[in-house]
This record gives sequence, C-alpha cells and structure tokens, in this order.
Amino acid sequence: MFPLNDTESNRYGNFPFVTVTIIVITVAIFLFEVRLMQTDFVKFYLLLRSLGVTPRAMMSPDGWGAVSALTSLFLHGGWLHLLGNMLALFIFGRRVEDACGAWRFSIFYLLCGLCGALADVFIRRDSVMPSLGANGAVAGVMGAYLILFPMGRIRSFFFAWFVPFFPQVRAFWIVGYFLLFNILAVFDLFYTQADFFVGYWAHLGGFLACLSIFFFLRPEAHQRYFAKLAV
Amino acid sequence: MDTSTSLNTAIAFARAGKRREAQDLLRLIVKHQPSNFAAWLWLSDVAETLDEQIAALESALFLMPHNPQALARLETLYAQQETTAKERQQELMRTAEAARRAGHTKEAHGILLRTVEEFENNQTAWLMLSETIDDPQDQIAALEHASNLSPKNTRLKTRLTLLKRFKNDWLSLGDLYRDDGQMARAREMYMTVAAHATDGLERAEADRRLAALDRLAEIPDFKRYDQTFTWIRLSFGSIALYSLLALLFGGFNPAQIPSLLYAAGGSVVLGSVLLAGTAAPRHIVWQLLFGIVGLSAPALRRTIGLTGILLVLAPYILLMNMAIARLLPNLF
Repeated sequence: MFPLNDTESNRYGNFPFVTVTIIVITVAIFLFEVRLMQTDFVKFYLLLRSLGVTPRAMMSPDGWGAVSALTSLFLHGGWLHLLGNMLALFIFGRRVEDACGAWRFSIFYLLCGLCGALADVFIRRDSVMPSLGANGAVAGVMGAYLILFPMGRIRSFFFAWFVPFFPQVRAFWIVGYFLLFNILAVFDLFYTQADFFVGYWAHLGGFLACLSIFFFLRPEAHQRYFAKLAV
Repeated sequence: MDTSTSLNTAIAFARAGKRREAQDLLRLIVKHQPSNFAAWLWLSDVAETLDEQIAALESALFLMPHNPQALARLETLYAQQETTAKERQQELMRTAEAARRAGHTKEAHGILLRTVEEFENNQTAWLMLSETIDDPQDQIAALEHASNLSPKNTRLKTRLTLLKRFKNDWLSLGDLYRDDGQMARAREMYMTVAAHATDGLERAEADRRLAALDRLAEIPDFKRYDQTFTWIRLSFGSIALYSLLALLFGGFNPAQIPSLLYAAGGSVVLGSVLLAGTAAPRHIVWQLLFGIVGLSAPALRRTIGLTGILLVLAPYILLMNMAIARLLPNLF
C-alpha cells in the first residue's frame, strides 16, 4: 500500500513554500548526481563520500561533519530512495509546515535530519560508507504529523486482484506501521549484526527528534494542541 | 398646632402599628418644630426607607450630638445600609454579568450604567462598563474612572495607555481587545478595517487577523499564553541546531570547537531571542525598552526581527564557511 496524499486542507492557509522548495532542490541535486554518475563515476563517488554522512569523517575533529550532515539531506542513492522520501515529505510536510510556519519548519526539518544523521553515526562510528538521504528529516516530519494529526486521512493506493483501490487511511496506521517496522528492523540488525543499506537508525533518530515539534509550533497551533483541538 | 398632643398621638399610632399615620403626623411635627428631638427620634423609627431613617436620626443627633441611644441606633443603621448597598451592588453586577454572557450587551450596558451612577466607587462596574461601550473614547473615560479608584493598578494603567495610543489604529486596537479576551469587539474592529480599507494590503491583513480570531474563538476558555513562555519556547530551535552543528564541527568534542564559534553562539542566542521576541510584542521587556506599546509599531517589529535574523544567520554562515574550508581539499 502506498500513501498518495493528505486529504485534509491547511488550517492556516499557507502555501507549503519550504516543503516544495526542499523537494525541488532535492530533485535538482539528484538529477545532477545522475548526470555526474554517467559522466564521471569517480567524481560522483568522491562527491557522495564528501557530502554524505561518513561516520569516520564526522567523528574526526578535522572532519567536515557540520557540512555533510546538512548536505546529505539533499543527496539520494537512487530513484526509489528519492521518490520514497519526497513523497513522504510531500504528504506529511504540508500540514506540519502549516502548523509551524515556513521558517520554523525549515529549522525543524534540518534539526530532525541532523539528529537522524547523529544516530546513524553513533551506530556505525567506524564505517567509511557514506549514508545519504533525507531519511531522518522525513521521519521527523512524519513523527510530527503523527503527534499533531494522528487522525489525519491519507489517501492511499493498493491493488487487490489487479483492481486499484484508493482508500483513506488514518495517519496513525501508516506512520505507526513505519515506526514499528523501523524498530523491528533495528532489533533484527542488532541481533544478526548484518550489514544494512537502509538508514533505520537515522529514521529512529529523526523520529526521536520529532518530539521537539512543540518548540516549533506557531503560538496559535501550540495553544490549540493543548486545548485538545485539531491543530 | 399642639405639638406635644400631636407627638403623643403619633407615638400611640406607632405603638398601635399604624406606621403610615404616625409617619404623616411626625413629618408634620418636625416641619413645624424642627428642634423637636423626640419627634425626629420617633420618625427614624417609623420611616419606611433606610435612607429616611438615617436622615431622621442624623437630624436628631444634630440637636443632641451625644445621645447614646441615638448614636447606637445610627451605627446599626449605617451597618445595615452598608450591607444593603453591598447586596444591591452584587445583585446588579450579577445581572449585568449574566446579560453580558448571554450576549445582551445593551442590557448589560444599561445595568452597569445604573450601577456606576449609584455606586461611583465600584471599580469592577467601571471596568465591565468599558467592555460594553463601543466608542473607544468612552471606553477610555470609563477606564479612567476605574484607574482613579486604584491608581496603583499598573495593568489597568497600561491598558488605558494602550487604548489611548491605539484609539485611531483599529487593527492594533483589535489586537488589544483580542489579547484582553474581548473577541467580539476585536472582530468588530477587524471587520471595520476590512470593510473600509482603501489599501489592499491593509484589507488582507484585517482578513488574516479575522481568520486567526475565528480559530482562536474555537478554543474553549481561551486564555492567551504567558508571553515569556512563547518567547522562550520559540527561541529554542535555531539555538539547538547551531549547537549540534558546532558539536559536529568539533568532532563531538566540545574542546575542539574553536572559540570563535563559541563567541558566535552568543550571537545566535541573542538573534534567536530577538526573533522569537517579535511573537511577544507587548512583553514587559519590550515595554521597558520601547515604552508602553512595546513592539507594536510594525516598523520597529520588522527592524528587531531583521536584526534577529542577521544575528542568527551570520554565525551559521561563519560555521559553514569554516566547515566548507575543511571539506574543499577532500572534495574530488
């Protein structure tokens, strides 16, 4: 089942300027990556190693962690990786941005991404494999969505006997499943010590950072949340 | 007129329970013989209203100021009058409050006018009256009355000053009412601006505030947050982000972070505080710095906000610049 879009409208009526900008920039950078990969693979690899989150480089006092923790949010390892993250950002980011306001949302997004990167670095501290993607940031946005709009209706898509269905699924099912899946995956990796190519720890780090959403909500939304009204 | 016979007759009427007849006769006696102490004393006994009883007793005491019986009775009557006045005030205030809550503002206004006419020193009545008046100028007059009754009430004084300051700026006046919880009045102000604005931007702003007011009205028992809380809460984000980035720059070792970045952290804190402070424009700190209106002037608010943004951004740019300088030799 694939989530497609959030069916509910913005309460504060703001255009999701930051969400759209992030998507546009990320897609543009990914197109550049693809182009570079086709023309000069070595440069492409070096670019990923430098601008992605490479734990050993980040743990070093002479490293460039402060840059790469931010730049890695805009780099992706493949079309599916990009589509997955950007679709989730598009679905869940719009209303979270609306509840925060553009500036605060952009800081929240970066903070979640950073926390995701940190979680990833602490787990793979000796690794020289760069990790890429807005996983932590998007997980943070999804977590914030779960906190603010647990009953939000997400139009989803699935096939049953080759017939497409578009049900509206409550957000807590989708985000809850995502969270549970990540927790189970992390346990699995912990016991099997297997190598992994998905940033589960980054997802969980981002999820943890989403609790800071209360520092980013516009005053009105904050007040509505604690008055137990829809934010 | 034989006053002693008449007085005896009046006393007999009074003792027989014929108050009306006794009253008429006693009034006649004191009219012809205002120095008749006994007649005043008896009149104070049979008079119908408390005010009349007190007036008669005061007249008697004017003739014999040290009469212990009259003095004791007057004291009792004063206490009774005070209790009655208190009860009446409470009753009037209760009725006015009920009418106001039911949305019958005109009725509440009438009752409150009566209250302040009768009890000029009732501060709550003056305050409530100011909330039922439409014209800002009249509101100012009512609040001035209330303020005169307790000159040390700084909150009231602030409100009065703000009202005077904004009486011609209806958008700000709307904000003031909104912050005081007078949503209907705030709405009225915004709607007036929206209806009469010649400037499209002003109309859009009024519409925006109207929409925000509608959302606030959905909150039951809406009470605006303490501005200090909002201020501190909103300062957190950029400070946290900068701290994490600085920690990353030092390879997770605070001792490795250059002192320049520590110093720049101060700028981030100051900038974040300034920026978040624009969400609390009438905070006491702003009022101490810029007078009673705080950051209400849009130009000042913009200036402070912009200064905050610059103070936040500069250290971020510095940090990124230093980090990129480290990265470049390793890139490609």
